[in-house]
Amino acid sequence: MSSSKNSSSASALVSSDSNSPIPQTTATNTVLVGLDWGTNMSCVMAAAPNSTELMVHEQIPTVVGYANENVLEGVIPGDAKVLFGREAQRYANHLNVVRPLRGGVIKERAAARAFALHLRDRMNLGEGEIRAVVGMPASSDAVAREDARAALKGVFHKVIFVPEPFLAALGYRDESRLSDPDYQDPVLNSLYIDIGAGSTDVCLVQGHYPTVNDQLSATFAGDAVDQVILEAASVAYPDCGFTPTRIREFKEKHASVFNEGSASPAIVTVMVGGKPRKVDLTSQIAAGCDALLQKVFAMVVELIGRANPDLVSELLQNVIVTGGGSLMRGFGVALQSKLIEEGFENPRVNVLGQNYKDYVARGALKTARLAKDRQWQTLID
Amino acid sequence: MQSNAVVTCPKASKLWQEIVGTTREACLLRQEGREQEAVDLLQQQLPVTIRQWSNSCGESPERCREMLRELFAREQEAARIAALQRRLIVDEVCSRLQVQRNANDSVEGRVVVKEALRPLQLRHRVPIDDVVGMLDALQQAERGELAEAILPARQNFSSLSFVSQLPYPDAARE
Repeated sequence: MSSSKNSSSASALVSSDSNSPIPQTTATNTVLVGLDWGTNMSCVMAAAPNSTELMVHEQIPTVVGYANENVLEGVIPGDAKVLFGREAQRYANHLNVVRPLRGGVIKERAAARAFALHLRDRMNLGEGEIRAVVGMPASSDAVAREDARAALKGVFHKVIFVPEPFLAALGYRDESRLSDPDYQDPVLNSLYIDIGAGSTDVCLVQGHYPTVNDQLSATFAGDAVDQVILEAASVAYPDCGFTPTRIREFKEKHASVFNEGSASPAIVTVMVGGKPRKVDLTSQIAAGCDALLQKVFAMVVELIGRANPDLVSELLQNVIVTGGGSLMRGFGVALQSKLIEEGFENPRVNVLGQNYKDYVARGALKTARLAKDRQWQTLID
Repeated sequence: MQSNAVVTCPKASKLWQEIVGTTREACLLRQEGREQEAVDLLQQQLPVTIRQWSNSCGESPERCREMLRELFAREQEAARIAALQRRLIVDEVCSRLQVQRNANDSVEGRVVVKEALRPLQLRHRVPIDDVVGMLDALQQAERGELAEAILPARQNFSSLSFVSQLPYPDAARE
C-alpha cells in the first residue's frame, strides 16, 4: 500500500477529553481508540488509558482512491498509487474512487482494509497494544461484524463492537455537568434519531441502553435521499448525466426541508457537452429531503407510542437528531412542526450539528476506558 | 386417573392441547430472547384459554390448578434441560470454530456465522452507567445469535426425545 501523507489536509488534533470517565485498567504501552467508521466520514479519537488528553482526534472522509493506470507522472502527490480521505476526494479525477462502506457496513473488503491500515498509519500510535471500540450501525448483523473484524486484523490488537446509538448517547452525555442542576442529562429520557448514509436509527434512551423494543431502524437514509433526487433530476434534465457523487455534493450543499417557496433555490452548475449549464434542482432536492422527513416522522411516532405514557411529556422535550442527515437545513424545525401538527404537546427537537461525528467516537473512547480486559476480542493477524 | 374428564370432553381436550402448546411456545420464546412476546402469550392469550378449559373440563377448581401447576413445572423443566443441552453443544461448536478461525480464518466458521443475520440487540435493560454490563449483555446477545445459527432453540427442543414422551392427558388417553 502506498499513500502520500504529506499532502493530506486532515490534521491530527490534540485536545482534551476531560468529560470522559477516569480510566482503569490495561498495561502501560496500551493505547485506546474510539472509532466511528462511517459510510461517508470516519472519526477517530485515541488516548492513553490513564489520560484524558487526546493523542488523536481526526475526521477523515471514508474514501479510497486507486490511481488510474494512465495518470501522468507528477499529477498525484508522490505518484502514490492509493490515496485516502480528502486527498482521494481532491484528486478524484485521476483515481478510481471507492467507498468501502455502504449502509455503515463494509461492502468493499480490500478498500476497507486499506483504509483501516491508513488510519493506523495516520494515528502513528507507536508499538504498544492498540485497543479500539468501534461503532456499528444498530441494524448491522454478524456478517457485518465479521467483515469488520477481518478488515481490522493487524490494524488494532483488540476490538469491541458496539451499536452506534449506544455510543452516541454515551458520547453526548457530559459527566462533568451531572451535578449541575441546569444540566439536562440527555440519557435519562430522550429519543435519539441518527440519520446516517445507509440507515436511520431511532431509539429511546431512558436511563438504560435501548433494547430490541426501544429502537427502530430503516434503510431509508442519506443514500436513499440521493437516489430519490437522482431519479427526479434525471427525469427533469435527462441530458445532464447526473452521477450519484455529484448528486450527493448538491444535496450536501442545498439540502433543506423548507417548503419549496421558502427554501433558497438550489441552482447548480453541471457540464453538458463540455459547456457549463445552470439547472434548478430545488424541487428535486426538496422531494428527497421531504421523503426522509416523512420516514423519520413515522418512526418517531411509532416509538413514542411504545414509551411509558407517564414519561412522554418529558421525552418530547428531548428529541435529539444526529448523523449526517441532521445537517439538512430546517430538519429539526420541520420535525418539531410535524409533531405539533400531529397533536403532540410542546415537543422540542435538538439538532446536534456539525460535531455529530465526535459523539460516537467519544462514546467509543469512554467505553474503551471502562471495558474489562476479558471483554476485549483479540484479533489474530 | 382424575384427568379423565379432560379426556372424555373433546372441547376440553382441544383446549388443554392449546394450553400446552401456548406454554411451550412461551418457554421457547424466552429461550430465543423474545421476552415481550412470551409475556404477551402468558398474560393475554393463555388466561383466556385456561378460563375456557376450566369451565368445560368438569374438574374441580383445585384439580384444575394442580394440573396447570404440573404442566408449567413440566414445561419449564423441559425448557431448562433443553437450554442446558443446547448450551453444551453450542459451547463445544463455538470453541472448535474459534480454534479454526484463529488458525486460518476458516471458511467453515464464516459459513456458520453467516446464518446469524439478525442485528445485535439487547434483550434486557442495562443502566446507562453500567458500561461493563452493557458490553457483557452485547456479548451474551452475540453468543445467543451464534447459538441460534448453530442450533436453533426450537429445533433442539423438538428433537429431545423426552419432550415427546411427556405425559399429557391426551397421551394418557391413548
